[in-house]
Amino acid sequence: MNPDPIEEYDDVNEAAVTDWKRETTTRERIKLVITRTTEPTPASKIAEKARASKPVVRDELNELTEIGLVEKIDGGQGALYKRNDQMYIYQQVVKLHEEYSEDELVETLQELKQTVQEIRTRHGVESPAELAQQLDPDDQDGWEDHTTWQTAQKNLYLAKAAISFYDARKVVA
Amino acid sequence: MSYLAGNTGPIDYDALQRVRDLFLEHEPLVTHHDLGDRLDPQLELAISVDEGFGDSPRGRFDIVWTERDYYHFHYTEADGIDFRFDRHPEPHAPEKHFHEPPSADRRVASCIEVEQVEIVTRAVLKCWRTALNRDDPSLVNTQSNPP
Repeated sequence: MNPDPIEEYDDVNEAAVTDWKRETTTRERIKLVITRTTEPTPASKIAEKARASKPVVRDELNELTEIGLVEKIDGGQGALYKRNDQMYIYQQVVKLHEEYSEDELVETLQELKQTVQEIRTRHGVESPAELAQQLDPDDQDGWEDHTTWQTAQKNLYLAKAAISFYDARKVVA
Repeated sequence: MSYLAGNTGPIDYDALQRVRDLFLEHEPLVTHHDLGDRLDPQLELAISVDEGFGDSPRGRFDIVWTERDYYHFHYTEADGIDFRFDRHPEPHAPEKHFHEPPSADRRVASCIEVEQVEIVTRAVLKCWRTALNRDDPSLVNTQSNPP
């Protein structure tokens, strides 16, 4: 809670960063940044975004690499880091298992397929990329369909993965 | 509904959970919050607050965040004002822009320059709270709040 609602600041951006640093640990910030990093990125860039020093960031990234949360890519210019996508998908599946029963997942998968089919038919294209090419920059409804399609497509694959995990668990149990 | 034009990437449920938690941690005026199901392809976070500008008794934020860190924070009041902090490709304004009150139609550059969900959410909360405490919606998109 904010103890003093009439807060003074010179720059709201800096004030927000100061709060973030005060309310989190360095390690928490590094983890937050790297788990949203999907492109190979140098440790210096992660350090900048996490407001952390480079040595601490390298230590933490190496630890997160060892436990499989982070992927380390050795390049000519030094190591690059990104989130481990397989681990990300696994974590999403675990969350889906907490929030949905198997029947609900199957039902939701059908709804997602229907959503995709409706948008595809409405615009007469086969993919979000194709839709993006033909949309006018001002076409609000069209872009909303585009975002919905991208989201439905991702969720569809995660739902399928979660259903497969339910099936696999029955076999290994 | 989503106000996000351009190639935004999928809506990010985990980021919206973080936005919700930050509102709850930071803002005692929050009365209700509603984030749909994880697999909803038209996901939106709604947060109601127990105080509005002028005569309005309450307001609501409708929030969308995507995996590419595009977003909108749309503030609305029944019979009152609307404004919106946006970041997305936009042919008529900078990527980070603000839709001014009272009706959220005119676009100007946003005072929010930071980009990460944890920081943007804190900045939006400050901007809104400062303007609310002074009961002046024209102050929402203001970078500094001097004594």
